Amino acid sequence: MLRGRELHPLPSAYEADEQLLLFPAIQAFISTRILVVQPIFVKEYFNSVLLLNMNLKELQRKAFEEAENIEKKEHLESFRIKYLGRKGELTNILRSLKDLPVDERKSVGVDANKLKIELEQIVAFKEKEIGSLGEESVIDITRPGKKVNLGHLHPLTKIEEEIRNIFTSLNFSVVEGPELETEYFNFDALNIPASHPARDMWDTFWLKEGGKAKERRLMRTHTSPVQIRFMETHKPPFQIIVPGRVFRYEATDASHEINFYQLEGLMVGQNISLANFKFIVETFFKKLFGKNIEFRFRPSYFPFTEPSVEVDIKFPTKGRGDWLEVLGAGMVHPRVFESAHLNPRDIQGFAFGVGIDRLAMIKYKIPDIRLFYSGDLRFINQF
Amino acid sequence: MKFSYSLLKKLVPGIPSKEKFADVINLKAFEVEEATGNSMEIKITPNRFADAASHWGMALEAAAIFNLKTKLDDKPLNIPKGKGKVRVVVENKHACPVYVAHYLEVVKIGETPAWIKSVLEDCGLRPINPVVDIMNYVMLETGQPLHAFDADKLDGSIVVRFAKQGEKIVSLDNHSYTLTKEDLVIADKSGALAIAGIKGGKRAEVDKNTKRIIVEAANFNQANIYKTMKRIALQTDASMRFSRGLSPYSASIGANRASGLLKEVIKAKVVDSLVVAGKLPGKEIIEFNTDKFNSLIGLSLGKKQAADYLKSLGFKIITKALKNKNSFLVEVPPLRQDVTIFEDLAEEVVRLYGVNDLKPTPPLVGLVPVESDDIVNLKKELRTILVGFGFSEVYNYSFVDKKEADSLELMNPIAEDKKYLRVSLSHGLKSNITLNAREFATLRIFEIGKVFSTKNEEARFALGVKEPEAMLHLKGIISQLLKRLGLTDILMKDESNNSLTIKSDGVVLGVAHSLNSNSAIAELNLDALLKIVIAENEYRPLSKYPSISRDISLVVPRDIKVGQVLEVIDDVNLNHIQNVDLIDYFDNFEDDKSRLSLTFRLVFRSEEKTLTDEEVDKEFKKVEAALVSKIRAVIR
Repeated sequence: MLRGRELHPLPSAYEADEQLLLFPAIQAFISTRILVVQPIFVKEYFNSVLLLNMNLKELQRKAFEEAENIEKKEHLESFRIKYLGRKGELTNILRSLKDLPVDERKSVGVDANKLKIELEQIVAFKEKEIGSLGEESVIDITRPGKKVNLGHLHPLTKIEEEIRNIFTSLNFSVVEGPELETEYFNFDALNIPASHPARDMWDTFWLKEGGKAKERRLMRTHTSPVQIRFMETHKPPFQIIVPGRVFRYEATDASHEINFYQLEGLMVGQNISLANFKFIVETFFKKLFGKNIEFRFRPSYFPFTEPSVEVDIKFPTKGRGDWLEVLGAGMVHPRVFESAHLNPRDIQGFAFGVGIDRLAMIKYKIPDIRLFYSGDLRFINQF
Repeated sequence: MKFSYSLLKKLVPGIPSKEKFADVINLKAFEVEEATGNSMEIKITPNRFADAASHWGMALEAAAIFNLKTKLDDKPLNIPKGKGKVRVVVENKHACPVYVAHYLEVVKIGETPAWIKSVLEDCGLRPINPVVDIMNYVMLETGQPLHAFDADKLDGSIVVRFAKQGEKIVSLDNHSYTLTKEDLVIADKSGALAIAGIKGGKRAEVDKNTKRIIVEAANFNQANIYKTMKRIALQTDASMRFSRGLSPYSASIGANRASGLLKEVIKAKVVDSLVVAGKLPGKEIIEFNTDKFNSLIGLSLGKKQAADYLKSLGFKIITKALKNKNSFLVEVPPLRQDVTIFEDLAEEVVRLYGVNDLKPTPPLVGLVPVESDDIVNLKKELRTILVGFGFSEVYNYSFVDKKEADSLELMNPIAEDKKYLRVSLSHGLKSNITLNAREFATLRIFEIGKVFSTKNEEARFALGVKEPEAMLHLKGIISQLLKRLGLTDILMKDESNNSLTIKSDGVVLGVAHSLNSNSAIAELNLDALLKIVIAENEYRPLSKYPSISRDISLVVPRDIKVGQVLEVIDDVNLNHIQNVDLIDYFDNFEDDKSRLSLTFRLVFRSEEKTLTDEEVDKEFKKVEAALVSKIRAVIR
C-alpha cells in the first residue's frame, strides 16, 4: 500500500478524477508509473480508453476494481488466471481479434494490448505488495516491545527551543552572535565605561593577546553585544531574541558556572513602551511556566537601559512560594542607540536578558547548574 | 550595604515596620537582600553610591516613597577658616577635585557614646575610639568617607599627590603596601600618610593622647580609586564609595557634620578650616516632557503628577514657560550624579509610580515576517535528525587544558585545566565517551558549539560513536545526515588509515576519525555546511521503469581497500547506473587471511525505457573487465 508521504507530490488535478478515486491503490500505481510524469499522455490514454468497445472498457473497470480488493496470494493468482490465463477474459478478447477487419483489429488491438500490459504490471505490483506483508503467524503479543534507540536533546536545547517557539509566535526573529567578543561590543558600546565598577557586574575572562593586538578581546559576558551588532545593520522596527553561550569569571557552585546560556530580547520601534515590555515578558513566562504564576517588577540598574527593571516570578503552588529573580530588563539607553548609529529621538524600545540555565533549573527542578556541562548521559537521557 | 533600621527610623519618623519597609523599598528603590535584627542589607546599585549609600540618602528615598518628612542634622556650622593652622597642597585637581580640612583641638578623647556604637554595629563596623568612630558614623550618615590625622604627627603641609614608583605605606591595620605612580596618596614631607580614598596609614594615626586633629573630607577621581583598589585588592568602606563616584559636594557636608559631632560628643573645638577645590560641576538642568514620558513608559500621567514625584525626591521644578506646554525644566540635586538625561528622570517617576503597577499592554506594531538566522534553523534540523539516529546531546566547557598550535589562551584562566579556548569539539566528546562507557555499552553522542583559534571562531558539530564497527556506522550516519540536509554530492576520502575527510561540492566539511574498532568521532564545520546546504529539496520524478540489479563477487588481496574498488567502478562511467552498494564483506576468504571477498550490488535503471538484460549485461561486463585489469580482482 502506498504511504501518505509518497502521495503528497500528486498534483490535485488528478485527485479530482472520479474514476481514479474509486481505486486508490490502482490510482497510486498508475500515478507513479504513468500519470504524474506525462500528464498529456494520460489524457490521450483515457480518451482512447473511452473509445474502446464496451467489452474492453467494462473489462478494465471490473479488473481494476477486483485488483483493488486483492489481499492474498491465492486471490491474486486466480485474478491472473481469470484475465490473463490461457482461457482468461482478456486473452479471449485478444484471441478474437483475428476475426476482426484489419482497421478495427488495429485500433482495438492496440488498446487491448495496452490493457494486457497494464494488468500484467498490476499483478507484478500486487505481488510485491502482498509479499511485503509477511506471513501470517501467531506470536505472543504480550511480549515486551522491541527497544528503539532514540537520542535525547540536552535540556538546555529543549528549553531554548521552547523559548524560541514562544517568541517566534510573538513575531520575534532569532539571531545569534560571536562568543569571542571585543571589549567595545561587550562593554563600551553598551555604555559600560572602562575603569568603572559597573563593569564589576560582569566578571570577565580576557584573552591573552600578542603585543600587536589592536583591541582587547574577551569571552562575552552577556548576549547584549548582539544588540549593537544587530542594530548596526538593521533598521527599526524589529523584535529579536538572541540565545547563546556567555562566560563569567566566577567560582563555580550549584548555581554558578563559568559558561552558561543567556537569552537577550530586543524590541525597537516608534513607540515601544515599558508597558509593552511587561506584556511580552508576562506572556512569555506564562507560556513557559503556566498562566498562574505571579510577577514582581522592581527598579534596577543596568548601564545599557534606562529605566531598568528586574523581574521576579513566584509559583502559586505551596513549597515554591519564594520570589525567584529571573530577568533583567529596561528601556534601551539612548547612548546604546547612538553606539549603533541610530537616532534615539526617532525610536525607543526595550531589551532584556534572562539566564536559560536558570529557567531550565526551575522548570525541570534541576538542583545543580554543573549537571548541564557534565556530559553525563544518565542526566541527559532523562530529557 | 548595611543599614541601621533604627537610625533610619530616627531620620524618618513614621516609616513602617522593618518588614513592610523592606517590601516597599524593594518595589520602589533598591533590592533589600536581608533584614536580620536591626541591620538591613540593601543593595545599592553602582550608579547610586553618590546619593544613596548613606542613611541620609536612604532617608530621602524613604520620605519620598512613604510621603513623610525627614529630620536630618544637616544645618551648616559656623566654622573659622584661613587661620593658617592647616596647609594643604593638591598637586592634581583632576585626581582630587575637592579637599576639605578641618582643624580641631581636643582636651580629652574619652568614650564613644552607645547610640553611635549601636549604629556602627548595625552596619558591621567595629568601634575603635571616639574620633575614628565619629568619622565612620558620619560616613554612614552622609556617605562621605572621612579621615582623621593626628596633627602633631604631621611633618609640614598635607600634600595630595601620586605615589612614587615603589613607595611604601603601612596601613592602620599594619599591612604594608607598595604603590605605583598611578596610586594617589595623602602625604607630608616624610612620605605617604594614607592611600587616598582607600585606607589610612599608621604614622599619623589618632590615639587616646591625640590633642589636635585634622579631619579630611575629600573627593577623588572615581577611576583612579577604582584602579588602585583593584590593583592592591583592598576593598574598604571608603574605596567602595569613591570607586563608584561620589559628588564633590559631599565633602563639605561630611566635614561639617563631623566637626559638629566632635564638638557635641568629645567637646572638641573647631579652630580652623581650609577648602582646596577646582572648578566644581554646575547645576544639571533637564527638560521633562510628559508626552515623551508617557510614550516611553506606556502611561498617561499628568504634568503635575510627574512633577510631584520628582519634587518629593528633592528635584527642583523650575517655573518657566516652555515652548512645549507639556514640558517643564528640572534641576537635579547635586548628589544625584546619576541623573543626566531625560530617561533618568523618567526612571525616577516610574519607580515612584511603581513599575509593578504599570498595566501590561500589547505592543501595536506592523507584522513583519520572522526572519531567523539560517544557522539557527540548520542547528534545529541537525538536532532533529541526530536524535532520530539515536544520538544524545552533550554540552562541554569552552575552555580546555589542551594547547594546540593555534589555540587562544586566556589571560585569567579560572583553573589550570581551563587555560585554553577549545579548538575542537572532539576533545570533549572523547572524554564524554570515556566517562559514560562505565554506564553504557554503546553510545551515540553529539555536540553543537563554537570553537576558537587564532584564525577565527567557528560553529561546529561533532559526533561520537561507541559501538561495534563504529567508524562504518558513523560514515553511514554522516552520509544520511548530509543527504537529509540537502547535500547530494558527498565524498569521504581516506587521509590515513584511520581518518577520512568529508567533502561536498569541493568544500571540506570536516573529518571522521576511527579511534579504535568500536569508537569513532567526526567533527564538521557548521558554517561551511551552511553555505552549501540546499535550502529546499526539489522534486525529482519517480522513475516509471523498473530497475535491474546485478551482484558481482570478487576476491582481492587483503591490502586492497573498498574505497579503491569503488573508485575503479566509478571510473568505468557506466550507463544507467543508479547505485553501487557493498553488500558483503568477508576478510577471511577460504580461510585465507590474505584475501578479501567482496560482493557489490549494482543497480541499473533508465529514465527513458525499460532496460533489457542485454543492455545491463554489456555494462556489467565493463565493470568485470576494469576490476580484473586494474586491481587484478578474481571474479567469482
